[in-house]
Amino acid sequence: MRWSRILARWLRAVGFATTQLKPSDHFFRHLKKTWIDGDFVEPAAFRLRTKDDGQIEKGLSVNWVEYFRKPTPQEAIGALIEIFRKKGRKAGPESRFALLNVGEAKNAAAKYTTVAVVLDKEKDDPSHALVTGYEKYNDQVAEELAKVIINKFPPV
Amino acid sequence: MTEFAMNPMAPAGTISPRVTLRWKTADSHANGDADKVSKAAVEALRHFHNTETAKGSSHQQIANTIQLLLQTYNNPRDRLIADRLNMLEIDAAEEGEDILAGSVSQFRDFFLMHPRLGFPKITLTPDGTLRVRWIHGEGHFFAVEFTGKPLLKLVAEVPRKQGVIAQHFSSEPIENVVAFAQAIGAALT
Repeated sequence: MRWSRILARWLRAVGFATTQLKPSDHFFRHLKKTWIDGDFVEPAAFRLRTKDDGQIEKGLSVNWVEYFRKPTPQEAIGALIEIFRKKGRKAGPESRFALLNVGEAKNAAAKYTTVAVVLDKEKDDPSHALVTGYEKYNDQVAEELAKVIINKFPPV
Repeated sequence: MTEFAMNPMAPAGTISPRVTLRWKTADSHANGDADKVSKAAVEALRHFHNTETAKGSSHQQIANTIQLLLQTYNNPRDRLIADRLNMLEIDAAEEGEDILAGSVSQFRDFFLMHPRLGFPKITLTPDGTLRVRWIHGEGHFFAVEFTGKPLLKLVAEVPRKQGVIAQHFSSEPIENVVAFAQAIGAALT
């Protein structure tokens, strides 16, 4: 058991294994203004996009909330916007950050398939994570993920 | 009477007596009143499709869609749709998003041909397509995505007996959408 943990840690360190977020963790999904109509969030915001080459993206781009070590999710948004700015991404004043719980998201998706929420650290975005594994149930899982949004926060 | 019935607010003088029905949907056939399809919409769309703008950019499509929505029936729903579409275009430009021209033209055709449908939630998807959704509560909605392709994407949740919710993920040609919704018991109001 101990050796398997050491091996898993080593595999993660060298990039051969992924770090899954814990069920108690949370993630943000940035919602553009055009994906929102009043209180309604377009579930397609959780759909994996088809790239120009016809391939479906490998995972839904999200941000791990606990990475920021803030008392509340809302307090993490300032730091996340700074990351967005450095990455050249815009978070317009009427866009929103949808907050989801990892465990609830996985349970919701489980109606159709098993999804993983894995850390996908980027050089300029260590909180970056991906929701993966639902290419075959893209529309269905997107609908279910939209149902388990806990809250929506404006960029501050 | 179906949603195709002539709207009393249609502007006078826009209806040609020689206009014939070009779109017949399954529901209008079933009710035997296909000839009551909005002639104003048919006329407006025929005129529009004969112009160069019909093949234009998404900006041209949206501008012309708004114009057609405001002129064809001039009813409150179409004014709301026109406002929302206008706002979406402005917001999409701010966000650096594209709206697919083919999606806009399907959206326009659908609403002009169905003047009695309700005012839905209207959003853009990350793929640049327009999507509408009539929501009646938790587990009760009907959504249409205007893909710009021959088949539109449909999603619905409809309550059945004993708290069971039927889910539908489907695709249909534009002329079958309303009939499909009716067949599964979904409301587009």
